[in-house]
Amino acid sequence: MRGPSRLVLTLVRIALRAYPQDFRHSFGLDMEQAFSDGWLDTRSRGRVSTARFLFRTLVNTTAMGIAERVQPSRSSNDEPELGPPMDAILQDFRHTVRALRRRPGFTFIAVLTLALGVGANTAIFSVVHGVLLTPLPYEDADRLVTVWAANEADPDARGNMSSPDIEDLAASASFESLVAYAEDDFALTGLGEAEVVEGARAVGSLLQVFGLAPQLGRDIESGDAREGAASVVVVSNAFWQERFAADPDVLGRILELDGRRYEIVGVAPPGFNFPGSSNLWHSHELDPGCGRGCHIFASIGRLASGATLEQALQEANAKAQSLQETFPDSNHEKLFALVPLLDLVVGDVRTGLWVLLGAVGLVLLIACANVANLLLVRAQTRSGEVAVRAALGASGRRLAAQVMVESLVLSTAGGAAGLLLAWAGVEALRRMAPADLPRLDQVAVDSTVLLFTLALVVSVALLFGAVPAVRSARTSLASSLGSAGPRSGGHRDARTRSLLLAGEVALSLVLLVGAGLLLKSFERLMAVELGYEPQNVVRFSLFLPASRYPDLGEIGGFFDRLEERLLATPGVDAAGSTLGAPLGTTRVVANLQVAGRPEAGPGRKREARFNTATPGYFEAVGIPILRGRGILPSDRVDAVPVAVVSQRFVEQNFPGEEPLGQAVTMSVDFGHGKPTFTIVGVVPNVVSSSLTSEAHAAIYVPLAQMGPGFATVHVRAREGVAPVLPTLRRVVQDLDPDLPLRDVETMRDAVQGKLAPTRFYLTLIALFAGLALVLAAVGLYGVVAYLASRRTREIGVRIALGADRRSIAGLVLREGVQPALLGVSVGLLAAWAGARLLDNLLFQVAPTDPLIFAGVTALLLIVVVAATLLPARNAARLDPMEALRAE
Amino acid sequence: MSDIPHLPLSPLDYHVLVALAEEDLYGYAIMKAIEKESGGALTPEIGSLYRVLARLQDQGLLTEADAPEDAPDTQRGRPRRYYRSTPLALKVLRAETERVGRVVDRARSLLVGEGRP
Repeated sequence: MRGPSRLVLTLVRIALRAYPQDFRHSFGLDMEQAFSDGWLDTRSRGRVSTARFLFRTLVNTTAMGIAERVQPSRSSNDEPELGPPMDAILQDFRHTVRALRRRPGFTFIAVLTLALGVGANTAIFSVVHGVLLTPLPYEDADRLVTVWAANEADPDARGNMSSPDIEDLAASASFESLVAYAEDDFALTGLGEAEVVEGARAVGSLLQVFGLAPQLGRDIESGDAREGAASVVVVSNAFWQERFAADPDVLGRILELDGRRYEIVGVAPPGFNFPGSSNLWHSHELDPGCGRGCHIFASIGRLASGATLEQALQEANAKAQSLQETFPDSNHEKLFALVPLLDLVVGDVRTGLWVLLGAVGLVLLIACANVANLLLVRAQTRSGEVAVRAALGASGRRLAAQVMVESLVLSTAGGAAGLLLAWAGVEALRRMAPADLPRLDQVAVDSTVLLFTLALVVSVALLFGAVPAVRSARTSLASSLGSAGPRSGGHRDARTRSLLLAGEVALSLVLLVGAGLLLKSFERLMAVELGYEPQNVVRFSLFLPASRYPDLGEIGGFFDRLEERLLATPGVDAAGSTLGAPLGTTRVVANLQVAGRPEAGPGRKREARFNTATPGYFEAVGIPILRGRGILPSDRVDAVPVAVVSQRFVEQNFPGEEPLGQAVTMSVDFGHGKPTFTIVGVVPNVVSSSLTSEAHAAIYVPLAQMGPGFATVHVRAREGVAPVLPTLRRVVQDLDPDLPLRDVETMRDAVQGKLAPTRFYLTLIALFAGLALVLAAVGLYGVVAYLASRRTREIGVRIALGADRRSIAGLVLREGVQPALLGVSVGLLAAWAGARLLDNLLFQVAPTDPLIFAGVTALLLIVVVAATLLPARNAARLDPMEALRAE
Repeated sequence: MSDIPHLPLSPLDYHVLVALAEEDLYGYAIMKAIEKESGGALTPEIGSLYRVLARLQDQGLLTEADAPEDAPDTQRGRPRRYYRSTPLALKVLRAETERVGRVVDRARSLLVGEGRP
């Protein structure tokens, strides 16, 4: 069993700081020990208990620490230990509510500020909790691990594996089970109109790996992969209910998938749809000719109970070493990468979400600083009342308690309003989240989130209430000693306020820098040279089943006819097809061999993105031909095989040479042979897999000379895609009624989809930074105006004595600008240190981009000056006679 | 009772003294003991408990004691601090128990008749 982490212990130590030093010396270490004991004790009762224990300890320690300062426990014992008696607290409560209602302006500002802070935090926390912290809904989900092929150059790569490699790995002791699968879409025919269903091919029981049992029948088994085994399929519970009305006699029925017949042998339990949102899992007959060189499978397994990820990885890599030696051809430099399933599901969003939570945390701190400032001002105006109460015998502790009650009432009201904001915020977040943000369905304001908000409310009350509370207690002591008038501690107050201001400015600067960096990244992303024209292009994918389209003649003939008919459609300018559409999901990377050059050894082979194209493709997508020619209708199966390559391909393989006329072979075979291609043209590089990665070397060969029967058809419309859309399906149906259209989308949407995550983080961080800026400006204005009003008399004297009005304005301006400058310097340092957290979210922008830092600083300073200018101007215009009469 | 200035004890003080009357205990063990002997009605927090311990020690009701051989390990290898009640504490506890007992007896006699007639 593990004790509390360093972070947790640090929190406890910070809370312990509330106690006076001599108390900490005597008991600090023992209290930490007691906390560790309690941590271990509650840990066995689950995370929620532990969190509750931590939270209670932090709150209690801080409160008791303040109490100890006000009234040391080692002297007298005239009040009971557990705080003022209940009726006194109730009395404070009633008093507070009355007082707050008398000052609706103050109350409204304070509650609104807190509501914004608490609301934003609650909303973002519900996302973090739902997406990152909630375990996956499977038994011992932390033992579910996916395995990928990696290599020594890139040990974190996530490549597909070959099934013999997976089988070897499955035999290792750290895995209880390991099953190969391949995510796939299937054309389902024979049940009404042809359509695409998401699913997977499986070489074993996925359900068993997840610790589940089929609802009906059986799951796919390893025996189903043997040569000659019957083709079987398992359907999801939802599919069974929708398509077969939950018919218990569904077993034995036949599904036709991609033109092949599969017998239904099982129904999965409700809710199971791994991988992705699969509805079908069918058996996959392993091809004995397709050995360790065939990397077509992903795999998922369950670690043996007691085995750790590190052990499994060690064992896997020992296995990889031995495979490298035994099979140098196929396994050269090959390693395995193990990724916990939750990490795979959550993937890239982890950093982004934590950064967002950090950002809203900063906003909340700024909100607290603002409210603390407001309370200090109030404490000042009420110091007369406090002194009277102290003189009448109220103890310091009683007065501090009253301030704490006021803080709690304010923060509770703010928290309640914040919850409403959070409810609306979570809905807005769901709508604006990028499509690839996983597990959005788990995001909700649930009991854990409510607990979090409650914790926020109490901590917030302590944060902004502690300073005024201690101040109140001191005031009473001071006034009962008769050493100060009704307005005590003025100088110290001014310093506290300045520090709070500096803090607000520093925090705002950090947020603004983050927003600035993301904004610049977004600009850079928008400016990426795509290499094609995505406007007015709509696309869809087709899969021609081998049973009906067995050879290149059939395949080429189909696409010829299709594109001919599409071109004949009114409003269509161009149409063409390709295997690996830009920013699509299909990617084929292959080794290449230039004719006349010695064959490269293992691991030294050149790679290129392998693509097919029909004659109309380049025009449809808007890729210009730079040299030579494109693909022509005459490039048929019986003509000389040709290829068009990208500029990067030329740079990599023919530096300083003439590429046209060179002959290359590629390590790809779609079952129609492996021809030698003669290069006849050059096209620009295009952005193909993501906006942020460098364009690959690419080669395009005629679809009609190579296959396969899978391609994405791109249609360029003359004026917008909307009028063309309805005809697409009809054109395809006319040619082959059993071909469903897959993944219909506009190219613009495909590009926008890649921008979406950055847009999402940018929008939120910019929102929080804006909020921070407004709060800081309001805080600054309020404090400077207040301080100036307290110096009215002094200013009046100065003016009467002939002081220049400009120097008076400068005097007031300095009250705001000086702490702001301190805040800017601290903020710059903090942003400098913290910006690297954003590194993963940035594109072509250094986290320490000097322009952003300078620009943001300038913006902040302008706001600072603007916020202080008004009170400064008012002070300068003061009429000395009025001012001297003021007090 | 007038020779003992400590009465009445707060509920938490009382429970601490009861827990320590039986055996020497360290911080968290005292918390657990109080939770148990109060039937879960009192779940003291660390911050409050140590203020009580500090005060009771100050009043001469508690002293520190060496950790026994079989004390559980600590996080940093530092020996645990155990607390032991003093003879004065036992006296206070007895006096308080008598006082509370009288109150309880009185309350019982009232409640037998379902309160006021």
